[in-house]
Amino acid sequence: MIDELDPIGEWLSGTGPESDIVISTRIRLARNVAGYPFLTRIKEDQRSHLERTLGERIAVAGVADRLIYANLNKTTPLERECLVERHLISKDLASARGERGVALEPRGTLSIMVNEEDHLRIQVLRSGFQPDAAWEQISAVDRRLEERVEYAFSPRFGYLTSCPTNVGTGMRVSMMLHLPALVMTKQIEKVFHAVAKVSLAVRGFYGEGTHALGDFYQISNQVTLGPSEEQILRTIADYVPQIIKFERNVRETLINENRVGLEDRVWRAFGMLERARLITSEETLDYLSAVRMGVNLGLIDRIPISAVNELFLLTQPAHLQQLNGRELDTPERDENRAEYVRRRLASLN
Amino acid sequence: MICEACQQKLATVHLTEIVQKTKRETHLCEECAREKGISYSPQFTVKGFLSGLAKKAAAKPAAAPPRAEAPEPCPSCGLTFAEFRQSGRLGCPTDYDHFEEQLVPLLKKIHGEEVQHTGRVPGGVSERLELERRIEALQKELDAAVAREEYERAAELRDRIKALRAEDA
Repeated sequence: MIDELDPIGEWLSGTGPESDIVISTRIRLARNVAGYPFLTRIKEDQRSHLERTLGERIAVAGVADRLIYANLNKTTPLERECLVERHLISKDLASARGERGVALEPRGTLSIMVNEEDHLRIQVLRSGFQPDAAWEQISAVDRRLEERVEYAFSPRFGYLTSCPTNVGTGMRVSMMLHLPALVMTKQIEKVFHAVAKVSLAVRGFYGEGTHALGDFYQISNQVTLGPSEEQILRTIADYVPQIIKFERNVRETLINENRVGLEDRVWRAFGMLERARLITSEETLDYLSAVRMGVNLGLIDRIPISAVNELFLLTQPAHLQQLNGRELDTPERDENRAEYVRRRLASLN
Repeated sequence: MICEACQQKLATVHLTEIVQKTKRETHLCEECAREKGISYSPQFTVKGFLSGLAKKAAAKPAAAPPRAEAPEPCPSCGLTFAEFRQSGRLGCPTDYDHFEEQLVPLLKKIHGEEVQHTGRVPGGVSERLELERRIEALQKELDAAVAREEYERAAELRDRIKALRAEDA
């Protein structure tokens, strides 16, 4: 099914507004079907019934021009890992057991997960800063689906979800931000403190805990019950531009005060990617992050941002193995990754 | 939130009393709270708080005994509240009603004080809900009218509620 999808997808195209800093805008809605237990208490036959009927109903609901549906039980672990790397399904859905599926719009702007933590997880993923376009899209999808599926809903608690942290609107808005200058100047902590005050959460996108690989951070709403969808959207949409401005200011200061230092950092990273013979995915993320900033600041002009984004995606373990058509162990992957990056950069020169 | 007593200052003392099954919330500013004999002390101690409660209980022997027993498992999915505590996941939509009393304090911690959905509602549900909200608002007005002994107004409100209920059915 992976080959039916657009090679890198809309969100990595780097065409959205502010995409030098905002990689993507994601909104997801959690929904459950009335009259069924949540997945923690569901019986096997109910689970397969939901997978089948929801799959069928999504297919005819008219939610996208084209939709690919996959029963994930019939896919390989590698295919599922690729979908995770493309942010089209969650890690939990990939590694879960039992009947479950996903409906995908080929460019990856829409994915509807069936039998994840909730019966339905609708996700819209767009390039750059596009809160309104993303909301418009997902809102229409939700309306179409509710014509065919009766959602579990309560006037007081809103859309009922398995975990109380999602109840109410069932909505999580998250923006993925690239903040290398704030990390470099150790000012990222300030962002952490500031957003907590408006009940937003920030966390590193790759990697565990506080160490964010590649300087990617995800900012999202914590509260889902109480405020309306529009209010939640506004909180993030009003706040993120301030972070964008902060990052841009710091980048400008870095250039004005120590251009050669910044150039050195960017070009060293570029050199590593261009020459290394063994490279781990963590190193790749770090170097690509510096190169990405270099391209966005005009310090490197020989490669387009779309190529950098593509390298971020295709050098991850599952995609690398998919490209090779076979499983690779870690040392093989490091060699293979280095070779792939080297050839790709050479082809752009 | 404004103090319920003086209607001027910011309410910083929030008192929740649960007597039998009805919950009463009182929001007061520091001064009014002190006037009403609700001890407000920045040197808050658990011991002081508990002994305060004990004194209050002693003064009101008619108050209901503390509801310490665990709630029954959900009649629909069989989940117990202890199981939910462990997994953090509910078992079915009915749990929200069944464990409402236990869930509301938790939801307040996660989402803030206002535990009331204000976002979108599924199509079809919205009209019904709108009607219910109108009935609820009228009911409140009716209660207030009765309290003020405005019986003519109360009768009028009662007829309107009746008409809306007929529409609902």
